[in-house]
Amino acid sequence: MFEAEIIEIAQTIWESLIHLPVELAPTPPELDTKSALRATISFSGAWEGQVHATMSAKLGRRLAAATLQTSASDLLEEDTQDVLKELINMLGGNIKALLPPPCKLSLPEVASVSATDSALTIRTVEDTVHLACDREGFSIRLSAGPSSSPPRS
Amino acid sequence: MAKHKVLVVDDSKAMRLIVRRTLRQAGFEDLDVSEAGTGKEAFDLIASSSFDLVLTDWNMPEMTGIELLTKLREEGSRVKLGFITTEGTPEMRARANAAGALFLITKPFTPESFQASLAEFLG
Repeated sequence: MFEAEIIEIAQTIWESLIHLPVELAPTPPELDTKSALRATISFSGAWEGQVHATMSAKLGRRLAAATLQTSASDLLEEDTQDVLKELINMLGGNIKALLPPPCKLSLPEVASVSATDSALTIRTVEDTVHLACDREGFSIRLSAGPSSSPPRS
Repeated sequence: MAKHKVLVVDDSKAMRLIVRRTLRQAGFEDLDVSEAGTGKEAFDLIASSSFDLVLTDWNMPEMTGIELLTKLREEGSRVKLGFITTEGTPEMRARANAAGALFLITKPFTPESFQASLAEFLG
């Protein structure tokens, strides 16, 4: 439903913030679920759901190093988490504009895939796009649907 | 000429660094830039020092950017403030404007968008 918009948003963010091009990937990324990272932001309001970005720890460090213009070996783990939170915050904030208002974003979170891989309820929108940056695959998933409880504002 | 004093407020250290870098890339090189990692820290800094411009994120823990602006105005501060945020919906812009924000720059931003929004205040 929103695949094209998600791809365009990701490309804009990656190119302006990280200065690395993003390409469509033909297949899902092959990730080690023990070490892969998942950045998540949730939204609530007229609709509720989440946006996830899932990638290898190596790509996470690569993105953080490019964003902070430093070498990956100089990064602290918190630097990678900080950058990935900001990336998912931007993805969520821009994707939010595609959804019916009112819509409120949560704070972003980053965790390992194994810690967050809970079953998700199938919602009205289930869009997953597979992308690649610096020859490493990653995926972005939007899972959203009308709120089960009406928004208060 | 005295340097413009700018306060960058964002809970993300990475984003504070990126805002500083983009200010330089936009041509605003001769600035005295301070940073705050929370709305509360920003409020305290603004209460104890004068700034020409505050650039704040919106979505932050404990005190959001709009809560910071509202509290500043309630306390009588007229400091110039604009948002740098991922959320640029018409509703957010209207809320920012109503609270007294001067502008709202959406992330991801560019040196050009900084120049367009900030030249009036930092030129």
